[in-house]
Amino acid sequence: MKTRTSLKMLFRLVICELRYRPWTAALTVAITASAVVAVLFFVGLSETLAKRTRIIQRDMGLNVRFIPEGNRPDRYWLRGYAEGSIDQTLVDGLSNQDVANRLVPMLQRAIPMGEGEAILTGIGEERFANGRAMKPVFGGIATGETVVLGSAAAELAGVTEGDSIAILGREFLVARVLAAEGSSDDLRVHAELPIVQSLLGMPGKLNEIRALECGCDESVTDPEERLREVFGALLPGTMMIRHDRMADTRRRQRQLADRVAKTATPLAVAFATVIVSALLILNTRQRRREIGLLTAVGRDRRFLVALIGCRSVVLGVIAGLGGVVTAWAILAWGGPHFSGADMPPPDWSGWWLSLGLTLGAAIPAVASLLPIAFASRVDPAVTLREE
Amino acid sequence: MHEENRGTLRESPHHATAMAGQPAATGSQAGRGSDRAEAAITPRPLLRMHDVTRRFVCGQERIDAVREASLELWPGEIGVVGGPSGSGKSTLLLMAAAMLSPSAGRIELFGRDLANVPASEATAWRGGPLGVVMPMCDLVPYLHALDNVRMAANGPNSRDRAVELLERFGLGDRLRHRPSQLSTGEQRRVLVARGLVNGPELVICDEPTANLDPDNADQIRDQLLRERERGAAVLIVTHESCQRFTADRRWRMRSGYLEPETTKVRTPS
Repeated sequence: MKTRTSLKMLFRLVICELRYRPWTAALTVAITASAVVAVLFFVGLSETLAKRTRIIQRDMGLNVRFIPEGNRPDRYWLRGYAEGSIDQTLVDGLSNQDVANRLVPMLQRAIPMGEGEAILTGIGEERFANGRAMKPVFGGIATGETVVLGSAAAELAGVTEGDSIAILGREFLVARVLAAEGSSDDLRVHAELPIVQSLLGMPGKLNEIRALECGCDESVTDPEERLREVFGALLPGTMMIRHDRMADTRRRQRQLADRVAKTATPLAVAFATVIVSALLILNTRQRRREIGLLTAVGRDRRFLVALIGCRSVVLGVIAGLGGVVTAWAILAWGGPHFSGADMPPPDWSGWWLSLGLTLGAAIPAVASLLPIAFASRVDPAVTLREE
Repeated sequence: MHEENRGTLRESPHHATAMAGQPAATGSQAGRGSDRAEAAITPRPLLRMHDVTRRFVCGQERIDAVREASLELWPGEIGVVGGPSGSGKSTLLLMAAAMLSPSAGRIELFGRDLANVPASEATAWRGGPLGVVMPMCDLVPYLHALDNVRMAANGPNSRDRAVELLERFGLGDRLRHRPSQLSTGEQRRVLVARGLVNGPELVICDEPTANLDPDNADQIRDQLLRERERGAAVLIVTHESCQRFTADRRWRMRSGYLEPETTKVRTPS
């Protein structure tokens, strides 16, 4: 019964004090909400930018290749594909690792095309690190009895989209002609892997697996060594070619984005905690006499701790809700301006709400530690003698 | 009239608690009988101060606000400490309310030496058997009169007790008024009601009637007399004349020294 009476009085004291000093309360809410906005904004923006960066980097191309062992580099680079072949069954084990993603099995050979030659490229189903489910980008660009031609290959064959084309004696529909890239890829004729294997009389065979290195974590000091270590066991009888410049650029950019997000967010939280703490200390100093009075009428230290803490949490929850709504609005309407990208509005998910509310409550709660220590040291004999 | 009630406490929810486990026989009671059962019900002073000194240090200066003060107050007694401002009355009161420890001497509250009572327990007393009536301006400005009384209330029916007290003080129609909406006399009555809301055994009042018109002052004095009739002890400090209060014991403070004006010769029954 005593506890219930104390709780009722506690809430009355909190609510009445907030109504009595609305500007102090409003200022605390505003600053806490600003911190919540800053954190959510950074989190949302960095997530979006990271997503955007991943897409841009993915479009730069796959930076790791595994080809059959024993290829002469001069012939590989002159032809644009590897001679020899490896077993397609090797691909099945590639999901059990996390150092490379978007693993694309391929089979490529030169074929006659008009007056010259093109590279017939069979592209198999894309595999993902740790067996994740992702939207495939590199695999499956041509389906069934269709082919996708590079611009130079289409020019050699004298076909455009919608035409039919004969490849090694079999008729295909030209589903798409890709824009010129200025590389040997312009000479490619893409088709489904099983079809190419059948056309070339190489069932169950590959001559290359391309991948995107994902050892971007700063803890990985030598990503190439790591790749060799993992794939040496998974892909016996292959050799690895790594596009160092592309891979390192990607790695540096990802690390930079991560570092910015990891630094800016705690800084915003720490900054807000300090300001809210200062505000709460001022408020507690303002209430010294009340606190002394409460002790003088028999309210113990736990009651004072609960009083200051409860006030902070009430303000924090209000600030958290306000912060979530504001951050969402800023990101939805102002996001594209900040990111310079076509940024979709953030998901209005429970995660956002809980992050905002947790931050809103945590900042004043942490910030109230000093005021609580201050309040519990208030000597009623001193405050009651003050005029 | 109050003599009949001495040593008993009616209406107080704290009586049993305060009496239990306390050393019943104190100095003045020693030798009254060796029978243990008799000792358990033997009255004892609720407050006893013996040669209490309180010294404050301000830089190089040492100020003895209270010097070697001794007093005792028994259940059903009113004690009044008079004296001019700055004579040490409020310091004496703060020590009696276990909010300030003495620099020297011994204070016994409810039969226990305060030197051996943890601060948390002393704080809990102030929410129970010890009622403290603060000086002026000690109402919480954002709470209305009823909540200002309830903030000190413990135990069941705290609201009913607070309303009953405020109505008894003629504030039944001012329950929902904030201190800024109350007159000085009304504020003072709220302060007294807050000190009495837990039905304390010992009530300590700092200037309960200062700057009040005669009607308001009489109302407060009457209520304190009722507390005495209930069996509670009341200690009042005032800069007014001690004679304004009906009292069993009177002291006067001068420059920190406490001098008895009237001391009742006590013959415990």
